[in-house]
Amino acid sequence: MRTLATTKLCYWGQPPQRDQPYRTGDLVRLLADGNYAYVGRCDQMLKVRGYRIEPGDIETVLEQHPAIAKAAVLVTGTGLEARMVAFVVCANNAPPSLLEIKKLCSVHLLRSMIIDDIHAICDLPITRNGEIDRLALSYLLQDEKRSTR
Amino acid sequence: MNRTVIVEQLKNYIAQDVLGGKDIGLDETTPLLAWGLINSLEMVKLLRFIRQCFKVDISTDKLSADFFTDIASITNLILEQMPSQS
Repeated sequence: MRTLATTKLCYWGQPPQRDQPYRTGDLVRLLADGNYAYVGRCDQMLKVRGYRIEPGDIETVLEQHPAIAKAAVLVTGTGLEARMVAFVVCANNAPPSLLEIKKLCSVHLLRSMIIDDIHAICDLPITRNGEIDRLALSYLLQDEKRSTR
Repeated sequence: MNRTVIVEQLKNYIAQDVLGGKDIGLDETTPLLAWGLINSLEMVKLLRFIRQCFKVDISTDKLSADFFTDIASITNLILEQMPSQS
C-alpha cells in the first residue's frame, strides 16, 4: 500500500513531478471510507470499458466520410454498459449506415475506438464559446432514452 | 434446422439486439469482431442466445476469435455441434 506522501507526489511509483501531485484529469469524489469514486473527466477524454479515448480522434475519422459534414462523439451509460455514440451532421440527405461507419472506424482506429451507435442531427449544438455543446447532446440522448421506454 | 434458418436467426438477433435495428448491409460475411459489432459482453449474450435458440452449448475449447469472425463461422460451428437429426 502506498503512503500518503508517495501517492501525493508520484503516479504509480514514478518519480515525483516537480513536487506536485500528478494531474490525471480524472474527477473523483472522496468517500467517507477514504476511497475515491470516479465521477468523470475534467477534459473531453472519454473512458469506455477501461479505455481512455480522445473523442477528437474519432471525430476526425468520421468527418473523412463524404456523407458526414460534422461529428461529435460522447459516451452514454457507465461500466460495462458504456456505449460510444456519434452525432453526425450529414453533408447531404442520406446519413451513412452504422455498419458503414463501423467499417470506416475499423480501418483507421483501434477496435476500442469503434463507435457503438450513430445519430444523424440537423446541426451540432454550440456553446457560447463556439465549442460543441456535449452536455446538450447528452440531454438529447437522455430524452431519446426516456421516449423509447 | 437448416443453414439458411440459422443464418437468418443470427442475423435478426445481431440486427435487433446488437445494432438496435440499424442493420443496413448486414450479411453472413460481415466481420463481427473486426468492425466492432460485438464486444466481450455481446459475445456472452450471443452464446446465451445460441443456447436458447438452437439448444447448442458451444464448448469452451471452440471459443476463439475464429468462431466470432462472422455469422457464417458461427453458423458452421452451430451446425457442427448440433445433434444429428434422424
